[in-house]
Amino acid sequence: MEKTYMSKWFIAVCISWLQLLILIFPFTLRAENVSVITTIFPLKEFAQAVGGEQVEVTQLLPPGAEAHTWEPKPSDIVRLSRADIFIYTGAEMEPWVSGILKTIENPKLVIIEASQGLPLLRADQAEAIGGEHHHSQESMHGRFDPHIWLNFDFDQKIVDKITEALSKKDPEVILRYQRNAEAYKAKLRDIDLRYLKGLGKCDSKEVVLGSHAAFAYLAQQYGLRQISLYGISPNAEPTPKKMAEVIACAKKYHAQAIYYEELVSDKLAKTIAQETGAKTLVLSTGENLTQKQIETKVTFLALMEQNLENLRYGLSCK
Amino acid sequence: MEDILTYGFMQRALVAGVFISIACAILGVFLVLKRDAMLGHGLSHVTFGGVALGLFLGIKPLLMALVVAVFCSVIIQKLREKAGLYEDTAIGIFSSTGMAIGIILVTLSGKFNVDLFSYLFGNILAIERFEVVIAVFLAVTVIMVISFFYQELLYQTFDAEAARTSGIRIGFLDAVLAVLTSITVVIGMKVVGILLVAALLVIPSAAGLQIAKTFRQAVIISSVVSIGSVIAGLFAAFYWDLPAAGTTVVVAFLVFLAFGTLRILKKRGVLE
Repeated sequence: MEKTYMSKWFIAVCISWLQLLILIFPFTLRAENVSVITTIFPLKEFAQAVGGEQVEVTQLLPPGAEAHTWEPKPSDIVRLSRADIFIYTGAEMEPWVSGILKTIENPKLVIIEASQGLPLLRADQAEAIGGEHHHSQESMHGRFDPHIWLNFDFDQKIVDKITEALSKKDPEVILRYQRNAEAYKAKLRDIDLRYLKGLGKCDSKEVVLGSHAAFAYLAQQYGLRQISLYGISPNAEPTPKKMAEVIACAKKYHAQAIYYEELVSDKLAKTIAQETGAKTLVLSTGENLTQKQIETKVTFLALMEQNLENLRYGLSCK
Repeated sequence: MEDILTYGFMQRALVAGVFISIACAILGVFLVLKRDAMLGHGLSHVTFGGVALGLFLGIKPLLMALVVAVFCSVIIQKLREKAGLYEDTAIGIFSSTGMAIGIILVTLSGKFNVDLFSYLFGNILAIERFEVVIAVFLAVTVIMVISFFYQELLYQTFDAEAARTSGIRIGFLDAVLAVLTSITVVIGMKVVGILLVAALLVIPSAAGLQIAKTFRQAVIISSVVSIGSVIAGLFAAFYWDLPAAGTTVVVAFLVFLAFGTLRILKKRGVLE
């Protein structure tokens, strides 16, 4: 009796040690490569583009997760405490970051806040670009519009920041990092040009969104206006009046498409589209991917291409 | 006044809202009297686990949610009978466990393409046509089943012991109510959203019971309060630019407050 009791304890202790080993082992193995952790998908793509194959980039957010509401698991904290570089957008986008950065002990970790130093739009300005009506309650959610990666100029600056951090970590291959960065920045400039050209001659400038106002930077860049059901925060609720206003706007500007985001339900967009006879199309923030998109290896640039095409349809561009 | 009804989404919100509110109010009177008022709220948490399980196993999430909710509601009733637990304890156990399992499954599968909550919670402003039909169907089902068992339900609601000794199948009737409630919660959640359905299961019935003299009156007054709150809530939300579900719940609460005050005044002999 006593003996079996003891052996049970022994087995339990062994199993828990084994679990601990399994948890730690993969991370100790990979110590040689520079390891970068990012929160959202565009930042991952930028880091991977600069770093190339020698740098290991992982994204914290699992497929389908939404950056504002997601919270880290214990294993994410473990990963962070072993990483070299951590890149996030900013406190408005990932409010949970400051909390985890306090709990990890990792003196070598270089932290990049992508939005730092960029001329951000205040939330109320962003919504002024957004809709005809200014909603003061909604702009209380955050002070700045965090969707910075939807401005391709900002993206180039973020790429520079990443290049600088990687070069400090791994100065031997600094030239390669710089070459990669230039190549990717050229692609960003190219897509910027295509947006300028593609959205230059359109019947309408009003982008009607059946979701939250995430596209202020894009709208600002190309002289468009976003009309959205609710403000910067993706968790707010639309009011019936706002629904009616957006429907009226969609009719007034002959919107050919009502846009929705991939990670949010398209129900509201469909409801508006049904009233106006428009189509519903995806306008992706690129913030995160679905499982399917990950399997097909969609790139951020490809998503932006698709957005351009969908915008050109909805705004009747020539 | 005239333009609110020119919008299809407002028409659908009104029609579906009214029918769901009827189903909720009728069930609510029984639940409140049986001290099961939290059942709707508890089941909505269980449903979260059900949807997550459905997504995890690749079975239709709403169907899975329905199955899980029905199953848990019956178990909750049984627990009270067999384990000697009060119903609120059983609800507490199942609602937290349902949420917990849901959260674990969400993380485990890690591949939900749409934010679970936006999948799970309908919005009264974005009701599709077939959902209106489902709402009507739900209300008709609840009314038919309740009127079929009306006398027995009435008896056991007021005096379970006497009903048991006179040969009424208490366990069966409890199960009928539990199943109807779970169906209402799952459908209501998908069509009008969880906040609204949980509130409509409790507040209008509580308001009706403040001033009703008979049980039948309670059912009728509760239904009227429920319907009125949905209509007034939608109109108020439209004109004052407020979120629809929240406004409806507050309207129902104000009615409850008014009826409660009326009752107190009557008791003190201030009003005849």
